[in-house]
Amino acid sequence: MKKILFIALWMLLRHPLWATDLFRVSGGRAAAMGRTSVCERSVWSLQNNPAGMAFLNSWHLGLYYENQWLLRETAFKAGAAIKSVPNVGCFGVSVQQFGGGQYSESRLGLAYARGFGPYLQLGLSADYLLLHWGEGYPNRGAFSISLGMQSQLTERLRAGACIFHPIPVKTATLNGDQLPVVMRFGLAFQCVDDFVVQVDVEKDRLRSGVRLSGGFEYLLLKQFSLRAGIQHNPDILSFGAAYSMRHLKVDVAAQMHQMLGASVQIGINYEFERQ
Amino acid sequence: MREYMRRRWVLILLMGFEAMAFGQFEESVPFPSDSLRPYSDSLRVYGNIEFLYQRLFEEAEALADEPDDGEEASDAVEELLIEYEHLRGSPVNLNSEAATKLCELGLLSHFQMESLRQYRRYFGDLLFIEELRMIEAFDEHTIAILAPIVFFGKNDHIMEQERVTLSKAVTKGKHQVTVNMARKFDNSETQEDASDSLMLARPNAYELGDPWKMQLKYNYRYGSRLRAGVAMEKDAGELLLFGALSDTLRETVRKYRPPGFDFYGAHFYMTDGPCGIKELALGDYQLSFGQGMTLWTGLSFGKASGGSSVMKRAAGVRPKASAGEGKFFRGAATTLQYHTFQLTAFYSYRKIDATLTESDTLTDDLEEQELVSALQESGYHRTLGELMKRNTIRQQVWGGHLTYISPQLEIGATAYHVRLSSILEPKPSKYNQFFFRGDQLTNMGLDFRWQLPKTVFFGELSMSDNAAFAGLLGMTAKPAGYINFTLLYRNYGTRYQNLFLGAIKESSRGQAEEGYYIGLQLAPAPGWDVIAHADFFRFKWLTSQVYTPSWGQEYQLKVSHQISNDATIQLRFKSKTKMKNSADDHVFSHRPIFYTKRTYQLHVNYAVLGNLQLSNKLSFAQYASDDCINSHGYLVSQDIAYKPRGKPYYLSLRYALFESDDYNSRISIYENDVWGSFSIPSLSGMGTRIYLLGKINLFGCLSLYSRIGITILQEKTKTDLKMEIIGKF
Repeated sequence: MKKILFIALWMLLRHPLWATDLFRVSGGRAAAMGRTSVCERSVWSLQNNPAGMAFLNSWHLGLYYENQWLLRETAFKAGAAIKSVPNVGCFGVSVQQFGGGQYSESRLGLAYARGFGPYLQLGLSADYLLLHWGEGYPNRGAFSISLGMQSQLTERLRAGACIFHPIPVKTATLNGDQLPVVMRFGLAFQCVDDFVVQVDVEKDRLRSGVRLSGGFEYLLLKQFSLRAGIQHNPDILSFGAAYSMRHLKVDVAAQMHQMLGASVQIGINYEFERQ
Repeated sequence: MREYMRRRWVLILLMGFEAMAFGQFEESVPFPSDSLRPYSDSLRVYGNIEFLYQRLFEEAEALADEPDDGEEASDAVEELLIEYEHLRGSPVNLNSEAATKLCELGLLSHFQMESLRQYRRYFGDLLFIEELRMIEAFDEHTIAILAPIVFFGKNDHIMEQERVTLSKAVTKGKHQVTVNMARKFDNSETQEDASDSLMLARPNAYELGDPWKMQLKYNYRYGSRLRAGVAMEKDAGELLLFGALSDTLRETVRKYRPPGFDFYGAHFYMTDGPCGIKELALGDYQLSFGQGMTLWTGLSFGKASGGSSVMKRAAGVRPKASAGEGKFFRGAATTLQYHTFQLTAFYSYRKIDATLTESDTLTDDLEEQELVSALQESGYHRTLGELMKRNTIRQQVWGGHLTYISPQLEIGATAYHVRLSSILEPKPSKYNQFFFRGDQLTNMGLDFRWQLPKTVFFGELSMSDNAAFAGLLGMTAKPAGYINFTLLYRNYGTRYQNLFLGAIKESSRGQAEEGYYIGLQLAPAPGWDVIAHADFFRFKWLTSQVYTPSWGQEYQLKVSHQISNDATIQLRFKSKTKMKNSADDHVFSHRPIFYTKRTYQLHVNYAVLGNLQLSNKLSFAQYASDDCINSHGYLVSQDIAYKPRGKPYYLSLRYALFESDDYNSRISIYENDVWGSFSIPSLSGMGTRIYLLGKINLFGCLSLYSRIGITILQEKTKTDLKMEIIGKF
């Protein structure tokens, strides 16, 4: 029995523990569009690419819930708030948690973004990351930063890039384990007013291969849009829809992983009146 | 709008002037006299066929990778080329509703058709083919393909309104005779000296006939109203006459078939007849309804062409003019039209090939109704073993289809019954547990298409008589003229049974499968075209390849760029991941593993000196599987096509070098072939592939094609020879 336990533990510990998606993509729009997030401009840019919030006005609030593989233990929750200050930039605070009970990953972020004309927006986010283990194991925490930029290349084409935890520093609390270093870049092409295509490339230093994703959004009716996308490595297919009212926008999405099954996502964004 | 009209007239005048000045209208295509001659030199005749081939063979190449579907693909391509040839003789009036026929053939997409309608509504009838360029969603390729088969007449062409009389049909009808011969030379061992006793002892080992493949087709048509024809074929290795056989063997063979061609077919087809008869087909015909979940035979293209073409447009009844021996019907079918309703009824009686189960001494009572273990659709009867399966059982099919058609909505219902003269009873195995067993099968289905201005929803729900279901639901939308996306979900029940399935599917049977498809077609800048699709599929039950439920993905990306009028460049990427049983059986005998095949293809096509078409291809195939069997393949080719202007001949040559580690990383590449034929060799090993194709027109009515292909491998050389004569009068 001891031997089995030892082997199981060894199998578990052999891989870097932080290799999980600590910098996972949040927001119902990204979830529906194959997790393409770098060029998005919404309250969720706070976690996906801080530069994206540079041009948002007034207050924004967002809540997001993802039931990954339809399991409560792998649920992902996130919340974000943004306040823009004229001539200074945009400030935001976000919190997210994956898992619960015996194991959870949390991230708390403070972000600032600013636009320099239409061609360049920069964003910076300072994050505190926390791993929680049940049954008396100590929690582990670490600080990290993320940097992002977006650029409106032409009227219809936008490019973005983002890097999470760019300098792989080993912190004492992590027992030699490493934080993932994740880099993403992508393009968003607004073909016509009611149709957008987005593609993203992601590389995680601790994961082999490159993650490719693509998706599109189609404004079917004035308030109702339809989205779909794919991701490669792992291969995920996603669909979703959004309904927007005056202040409120509701996003729903579903993702299909062929081995693990379906995940569902719901997001609510609330925008206060312009000042 | 007025501005637009003015522009249109300026353009038309300019084009007319250009055509007058250079006098470059094509002579070979007969156009009805009351329409304007549409064809300017900017669309080369050679190019037209080339584009069509290219589009077809992308589909066919995709299917060629699937061993089960190769035969079907070849029949489908042959059929489409026959239809295309037919349309060249009696072009479609794009200013009439007859243009929907082009949709049914897949030559025009749904949204292109819609744009065309809209254009005609705003600006009136089209006058020149060049006007198509001003309609959104029409690209150069489509226009080049359409050019020889359309004309722009008044709203309804005179030919389509007048009554058909016998004298007119006899005097004004067009005839076409096609003779096609082909054979393969292989310098491997010959089997000439096998004795009779050896042949009888090993019935599957020796081919009885000579290595020539022969095909003879006669087609008659009167405009688009009447069509008729006969087709006969003998495959390579099949017997024509029994003279060369010894007496004992001849007696044995006579039991299974009479001398002559191996396959005979005839068809008669009429449209717009009296008493509301919209279509009438006698003899061999194909049927296709809805999205193909219930009933679809013949021409069917799947995922490879991307875009909105996964939404199928059923043609209803269509004559079968090809000599394919796969799925088709033989009997009678008719479509009646009453206001917005169309009713099709059909009956078919045909002998089909099947493998008889070895007779058992204990089952005497079953002797009246034999058991068959599998239906054969390959159509090969080369060896004694294959001959024994020939026409062993009778198949009767009857049923009907009722549609309601309005501009926004189409709703259809299909029901049919299949009766076999013997009970089909596949050898029991776990993977074929839910296959159709028995001698009777009824299928029913409901289909719809609902059309909004920029979006179309479509679907079909089918049921087999064992209360199993299959369903398909999809949408395709066009946010702007150059963007198009498609979403599709399909689900075939584990116990769903259908012998005439033609819907989009990954497995060859269309059973126990679920799949999601996303396709996107986009023109990000003028001259650029991007087509991408992803298909995620899951098999809910075991297959013959993998003894566990399995899944996989397929991705495809195609980027093409029109560099100039004479040059295009295209990059194609395709990746398919599936599961199969592991070959090594050290741990578990049938461990499921993933394998991926990726193909990259770069294709450059350009014309020099006006009559020389050059093209280069670079292909790279990569195969990787979980049990570390990885291999690669490459191909580099140079094509030269010489088509002198105003001369009745052309020549086409390819020289290709290839190298591949094994069969897994083989490269399938399409080749130009004699008209109506189909050639996609799968090249593996290391060697050279050369082919030379020549065509010459004689006396204005005869076309002679000849083609020689040589594959030089290190250990052997294979040669294939084809000749074709087409006579039109």
